[in-house]
Amino acid sequence: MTEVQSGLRPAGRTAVDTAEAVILDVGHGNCAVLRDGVRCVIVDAKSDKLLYQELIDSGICRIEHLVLSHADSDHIAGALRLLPNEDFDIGTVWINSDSNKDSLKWHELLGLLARLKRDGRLRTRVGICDEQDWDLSLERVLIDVLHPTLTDIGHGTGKAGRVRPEITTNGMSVVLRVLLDGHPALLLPGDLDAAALEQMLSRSKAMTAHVLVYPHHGGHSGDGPENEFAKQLCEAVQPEVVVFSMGRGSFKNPLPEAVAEIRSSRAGTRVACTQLSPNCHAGEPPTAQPLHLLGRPAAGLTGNRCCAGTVRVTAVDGALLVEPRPEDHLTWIEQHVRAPMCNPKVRLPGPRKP
Amino acid sequence: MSRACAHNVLELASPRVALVDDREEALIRACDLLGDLPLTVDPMLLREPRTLNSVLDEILGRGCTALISDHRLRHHARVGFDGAELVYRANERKLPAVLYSAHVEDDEATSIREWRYRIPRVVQKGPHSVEAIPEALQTAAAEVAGRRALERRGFLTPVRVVDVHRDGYPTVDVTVTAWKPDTVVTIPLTRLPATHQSASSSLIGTVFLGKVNFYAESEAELFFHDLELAPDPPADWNTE
Repeated sequence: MTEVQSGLRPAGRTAVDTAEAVILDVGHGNCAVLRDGVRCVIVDAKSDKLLYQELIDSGICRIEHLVLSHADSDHIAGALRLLPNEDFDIGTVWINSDSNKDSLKWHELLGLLARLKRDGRLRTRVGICDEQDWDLSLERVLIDVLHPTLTDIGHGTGKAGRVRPEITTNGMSVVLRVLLDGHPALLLPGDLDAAALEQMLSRSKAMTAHVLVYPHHGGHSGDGPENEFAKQLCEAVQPEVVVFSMGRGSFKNPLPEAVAEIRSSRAGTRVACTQLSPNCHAGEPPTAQPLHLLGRPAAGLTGNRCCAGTVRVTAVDGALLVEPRPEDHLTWIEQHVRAPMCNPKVRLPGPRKP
Repeated sequence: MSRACAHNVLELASPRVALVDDREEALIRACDLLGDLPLTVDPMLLREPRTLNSVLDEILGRGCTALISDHRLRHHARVGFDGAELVYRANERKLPAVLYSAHVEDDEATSIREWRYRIPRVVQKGPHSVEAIPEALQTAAAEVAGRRALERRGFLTPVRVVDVHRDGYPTVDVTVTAWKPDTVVTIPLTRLPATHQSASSSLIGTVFLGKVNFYAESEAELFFHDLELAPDPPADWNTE
């Protein structure tokens, strides 16, 4: 790092020999930093500024891999601003092609990648699938690609044909299972949809993980019943913690029926939304200072929109630790949130139509 | 210009700052305004045609450690450059320089943006403008010393042409997705590569890649530097 940038907080943490996964509160979108010392793998990049701050604070100077799970803006927008920043060494950017995608952001990102590759700033891999073995891994952060398959990326996104299935942009999401110091710590499924989940379940690859970052920010997974999707997913992943990486915006995520299913079929599982869902607390957010939050960058710090905020997962003494600590988070919820969906005593609103 | 001066132009007890204008009354007024600051103002009235380099040489020869210049210099002095270019070249030569103009809004998308890459601060002339001068000079000194704030750093990014204007100062309207995707920004046509300065409507839709300070808050602060046509994906796209 050449200097502390104006407009950002100065570095608050020094580089330590830490292996951790940080799920940044980026609002509606995804961004996870999987760190091993001063190197990291980034999965999706909704926001660049929070990510930039996180990397500075963590003393990370090398982005070994940037994986863009799929081509939607809430997963790639920050990459347009992060990639040209020469403050970081960048190894490989991994993407899948998407013939359905006609967005300016995606098109321009491809042009930028081409130029940065030409300049020798980074490498590109177009075509990431479950035959990747452990190519994305760092020493203590092992990353397995569970989805899509080689056949999926061979077909590409598009409507069903004579032999090919329909594959949506969301269904093409790269699904990663992350092991921290040997512990199955995270499942990062991007915006995995019901059809892709069904296909994954037909393959007998291990999906278990301590923390499930719920697909599509807790929004719709397709046209089918969301409780069924949540049930199948949780049965496969067996999570102890379900994180919804969502924003307190117009989408009103997570869907109440998804939360209800997690509560009923996975009793004791912790539900942690990065931001305070309007389904739990309509109107103005609580003004009380959220002392439970980690001192990490979080989009919800502006306007008191955080619930769990940014979430950190580490392996400590042979077990996985998920922060903010559940007792602190729950205390804040009980004191300040009107109708928390994660609280079993609260009656949940009915299903929402797609 | 010593390195020490460039690092902090106001650390000296009374730094000597050249003040350039082509109108005498404006120069006197500006001298009065700046008189309250801890600076020694060295007024320089441009009355006759001369080269930009000769002006800069004279400023440096007078021992000035910074420059404040009006923008519209061509009318009275009949010089072949604007204040924006003078400020650009001064900063390029490690003399911290600030643009000081009454016509910022009129010129910011054209003759100022042409040189904005090396203009750290543009101060609008007015009753309270003098308060902005010290910080502007400090910022210029920091940039000359190689320290650019994030908002002033240019990063490679796509720039898409959405309209072309041939009348008056030739300009194109562009969008910068990495800044504000839905906001149109006007830039001089001359910011495009020489091969694409025809002001033809065929430019519309063309994507260039260049350095833009997309962390800047306001449109007025944006610069566009080293634009070139965005490449197609290379043949070995999928290889390491």
